[in-house]
Amino acid sequence: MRTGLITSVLAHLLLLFWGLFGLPDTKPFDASTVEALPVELVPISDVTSLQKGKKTAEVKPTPAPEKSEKQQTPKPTPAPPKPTPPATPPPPKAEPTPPPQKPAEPAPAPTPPAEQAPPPEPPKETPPPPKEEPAPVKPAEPEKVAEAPPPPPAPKPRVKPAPPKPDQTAAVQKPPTPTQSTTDSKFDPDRISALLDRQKPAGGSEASQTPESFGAEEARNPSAMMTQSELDALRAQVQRCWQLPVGWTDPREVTVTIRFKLNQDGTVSGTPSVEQYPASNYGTVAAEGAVRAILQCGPYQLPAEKYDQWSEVQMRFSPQL
Amino acid sequence: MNPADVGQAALDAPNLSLITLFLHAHIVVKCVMLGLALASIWSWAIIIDKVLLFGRVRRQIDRFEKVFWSGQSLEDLYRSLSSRPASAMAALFVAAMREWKRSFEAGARSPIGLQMRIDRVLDVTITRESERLESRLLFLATVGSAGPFIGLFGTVWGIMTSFQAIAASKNTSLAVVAPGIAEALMATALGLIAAIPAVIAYNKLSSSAGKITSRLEGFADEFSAILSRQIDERV
Repeated sequence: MRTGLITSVLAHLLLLFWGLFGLPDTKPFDASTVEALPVELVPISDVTSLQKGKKTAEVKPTPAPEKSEKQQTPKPTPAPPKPTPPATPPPPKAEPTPPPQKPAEPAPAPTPPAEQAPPPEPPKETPPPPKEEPAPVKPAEPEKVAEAPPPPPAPKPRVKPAPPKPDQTAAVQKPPTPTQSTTDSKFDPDRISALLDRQKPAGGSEASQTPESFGAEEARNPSAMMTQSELDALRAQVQRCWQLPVGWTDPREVTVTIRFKLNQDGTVSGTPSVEQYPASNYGTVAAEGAVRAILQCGPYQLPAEKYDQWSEVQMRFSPQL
Repeated sequence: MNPADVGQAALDAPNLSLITLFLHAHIVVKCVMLGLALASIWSWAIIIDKVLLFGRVRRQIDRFEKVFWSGQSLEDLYRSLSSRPASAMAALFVAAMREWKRSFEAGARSPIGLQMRIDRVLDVTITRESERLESRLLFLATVGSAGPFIGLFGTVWGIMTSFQAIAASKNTSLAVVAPGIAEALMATALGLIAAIPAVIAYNKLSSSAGKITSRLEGFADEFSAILSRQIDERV
């Protein structure tokens, strides 16, 4: 019995010493807590309404203003034959250079009255350029008449246009510069909106069909983009029911993307589909959890007038450390 | 220990080694921990002792059986063992042989009475030997069943104290609560540390003791049969 007791005491002391010195000190937990589990909403419109995005993109750069002149002119005579546009443009031109063109005015003046009659004259020159730009055509006309009085252009308020005019070829190039200057000065948002409206008629004859249909959809609710707070609201509603699987370490392990459709009353229609989920142990669990959260937390309170925007939602579930 | 002191100490000593946990514990929890540590030491002493004893007994029995069935004369065997029976089975043999010799030397002529006496002596010897084998095993059983409860008591007491500490310091932050709970849980850990080996060892040792006892009983029956044959021959 004594051997047993001695061995036991020694073993316990050994164990105690190991516990005191051998065991690593309890390490404090990492304090980086998972604070929020933000859900990113990717509105479907980003994918579907590409047309709209292009429009806005085109308006911004400078080239757009050139069209604006075109569009101003077509308004009065949108449908008429091609020859007419060249005839009408002169008036805008006349604005920047009213004094110098006075001698030439006789030519433009007759055209307005006989808008459709004058074709004989312009057709000669118009045939090649009309497609490219109606504007270049106009300058050609007045200059022909104005060639006789080259000096008058010089005294013009604008110095640049005056010298180059002598040559016909030069003249054709010139016009763009004055137009640019005018556009620069007159560039303002209101005009951009005018451009947008004009776009349809401009491209009308050939490629207008598909864009127009897009336009119509957007026109139904022009200002219906979901605001950030509304997205946040939807996110918060889903987040209430969302539970992450236990044990993941890397947020990418549990980041899933779910796509689901909503009814008009905010209920989920059909079953949400998992767009993508990570190939980790937690991937499927996280995806199921996200789908469950979406189903559980419906119906969602969303602005009914923007139903087009949230009828189909793609949502990314990602815990952010 | 004053509950407030517990909280203060916890704030001062964020590193919780076993010693600090023990020193900061309430006196009741300390007693429980000490008791459990002693129980663990004692039960391990018993376990070691019994394991050695059983091994020794098994080896002695094997050796005796080999000698017994080797065809050696029982008289010679008795003479060599009678002075100091080495093993449990040898003690059994010596006791039966002594009773046999005594009866014959006294000139007893009743075979039935002799047979009964020999059986009685064998039974008594078996009981004594198995008692020796199983002594202190009950302590293991007790530790195994009561250890967790004792540890749990310490835990409950410790948590009670730490809740009082919360009430006193009016601070519910985890840093105040955690040390008290940790030291309280240590009591349960000690209880389990003491109980688990005790339970396992109790089951194992009691079954080995049972096996040895049944071997002794088997030998006793066989030996009693041999002696009764001898009695019939002699009478």
